[in-house]
Order: sequence, then structure tokens, then C-alpha cells
Amino acid sequence: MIESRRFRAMGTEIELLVDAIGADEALAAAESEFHRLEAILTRFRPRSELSRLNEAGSLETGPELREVVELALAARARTDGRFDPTVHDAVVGAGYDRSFDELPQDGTAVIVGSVCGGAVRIEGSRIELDPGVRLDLGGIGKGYAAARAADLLSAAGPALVNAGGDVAVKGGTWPVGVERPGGDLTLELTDGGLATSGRDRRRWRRNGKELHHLIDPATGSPSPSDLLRVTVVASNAVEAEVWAKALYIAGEEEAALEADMRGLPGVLVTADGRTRLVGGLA
Amino acid sequence: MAATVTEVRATMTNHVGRLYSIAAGLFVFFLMWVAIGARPWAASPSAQDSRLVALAKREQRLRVESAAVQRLVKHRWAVYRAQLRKRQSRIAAAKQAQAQAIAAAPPVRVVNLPPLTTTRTS
Repeated sequence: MIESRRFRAMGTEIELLVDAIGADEALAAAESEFHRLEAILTRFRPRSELSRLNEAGSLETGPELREVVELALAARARTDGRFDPTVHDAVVGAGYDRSFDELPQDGTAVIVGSVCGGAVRIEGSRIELDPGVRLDLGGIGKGYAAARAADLLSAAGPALVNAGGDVAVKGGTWPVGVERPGGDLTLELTDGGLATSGRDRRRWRRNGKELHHLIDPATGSPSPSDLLRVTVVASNAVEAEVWAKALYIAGEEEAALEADMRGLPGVLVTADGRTRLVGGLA
Repeated sequence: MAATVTEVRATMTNHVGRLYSIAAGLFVFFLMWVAIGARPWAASPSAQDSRLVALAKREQRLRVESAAVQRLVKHRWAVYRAQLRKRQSRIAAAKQAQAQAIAAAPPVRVVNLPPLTTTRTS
């Protein structure tokens, strides 16, 4: 018997599924965890720990923010900089300066590219940012929260958490749909994570130009990738979310090569509407 | 009475004269050797150009400094090589850890089942 709960957090719809009876307590704990982590990791609340760090440049932080920043910096190294948490100013410069629900879909604001890749130091519980460096953990926070919530839910039974496309699975067998032109594809997951990144949802127009939230750290501007969206299956939701973005920015050919080389099963949907299965997925 | 005439004829085989000649020749030879060996035409040390003296001192000092610099460079190169080896081993360990972090993706397959949930762009 599958029990479920839906709510809104981190600017998206969250769906909790657990294969158990009487899992209310676990569902409530998982929901609370989402709200608690959002209060720490969001850049849209001025008093969140992340906002205070970005404002001060140096802060004694709690374990969650430190862990997510460590994961993000490790991902930056692993993806050769295609995933980078220092894209904050570039995302804001592209117009994404408030939560997506409040963002005007059209406008005339000036678009400002911004340099990414600044230094971030972690010493003990203190995080220090180089002058001018600010962090945006939107590219990793939902995956992290989904994985934490799945851990909590799994105490009641096999669980799946879907945080607006970033999926964490813990036990059981779960058919998960992947959007593609011509009809959804269903993947069967038993463990780990799955995430989708693309420019078909969080997008807006400024000065007549279409923009989106997937910043290429090499240019500090929205990536002109030839892909529309990328879905990746990995050992956990954080890893899946990181690689979905990194492969999107890489572009179709390089993404296919890298997914095959790293053994990352994935679905590439190109801007011209083709679907390509990569990383051993068939 | 017949008078006795003694004829004294100087001869080239006078041994005493020959010895004197040889001794005098040797004396002159050694005298000249000493005179030439003393090189009276060369300038005395005190009369050497002071600039040449300074240059010689400078050369000597530079040789000493050069040897010291060579020793320092050799020491620093050895330290650098040791640090490089440590760094390379740390990088190798980090790469291995990263490879382990990207653990093999869990088993996944395409199925013909209705999905319980759908992933879309987050």
C-alpha cells in the first residue's frame, strides 16, 4: 500500500511516496525536513544561512550548509567546472533575482553576465568566500533535500521522493516517467537518484531575449546548449542533479560521450526534438 | 860556449787556462740566468693596477657566492621534488576517492509500466 503526500517547498512541488501502512509520522518528518533545509539553503530569504553567508562573505555555519557547500565544491572539481555553486551573480544578472513564482515572465531589465569560479574556503565550521563571490545552491539543494527525506521515509518502508524532478529512491521498485517528445518513457529504479535539468521550464524573457536558469560558468550567461533537457540516473539524487546540469551544459555530443564513459544512464532530449538514450540505457 | 835557448811556446793545450775559461764561462752563464730569472723589466706587485686587484677579488667573491647559490638551488629543488611527490600522491588519492564517490549507477531499465511519478525539469 503506497501512502503519499504532496506539498510545496523550495519553489517546486514535492511528492513523497512510501510503500507502508500508517506512515504519517515518517511523511510528516520528511516534509519538515524539506522546510527546515529550505530555510537554511534558499537564496530567496534574506535571513537564511546562505543569504547571511553571501552578505557577510564569511560565516560560522551549521552542518547542513557546510555539507552542501562541500558537495557542491567537490562536484565543481568533478565536472571540470561545468557545475559551479558560484553562479549566484550570473543567475541574478540574467534576471532570476527572486523566487520563480514571483519572477515576471517578460521585462526590459539589463542582462549582466558575471564571472564564476571564485574561491570558497571551508575551515572547520566557517565558510569564507572570496570578495565578490556569492553562492547559489539551487542546483544541488533539492537533490540533497530529496535524499535526506528519502532516508527519513525509508524508516517506514521503501520510499521515493520527487522534488520537482529530482528523485531519490530508497528500496522497492519504482517506475518513474521521463518526459520526451512523442510520449513519456518509464524507467524502473530500485535505488539511488534521478534528476532532470533543462531550459523548458525555468525560463523568462528580457528585452525580447529568452533566458533560462542553467548558467554556463565558463561564460557567466545562460548556456546556449543544443539540448532541451537531460535526465540522469546516478548513485544518489545529488549526483544525478549535478550531472544532469553538467551534461546539459556540455551539449549533445560531449554529453553522450561523457555519460557513456562514466556509466551514467541518461536520456538526452535535443532542442530539435530527438531523444537519445546514453550511458548504457536501452 | 854555446848558449842554451829555451823556447817557450804557448800552446792551446794549456790545461790551467782551459779550466779558468770554463769556470769563467759558467760564472757568466749563471749570472745571466739569475739576472734574467729576476725579470727586472716586470712591474713589482705593489705597482699592479688597483683595478685588476679589485677585479680579482670580485671574481673570487662571485665564485664563493655562486657556489652558495648552487647549494641553495639544489636544496630547494630537492624540497620541491619531495613536495611534488606528496602532492601527486594526494591528487591520485583524491581522484580515486572521486571515482568511488561516483559509484556505479544503480540498476535501471526501461519498462512498459505506467509511472508512479514523473521527472520533469526541476
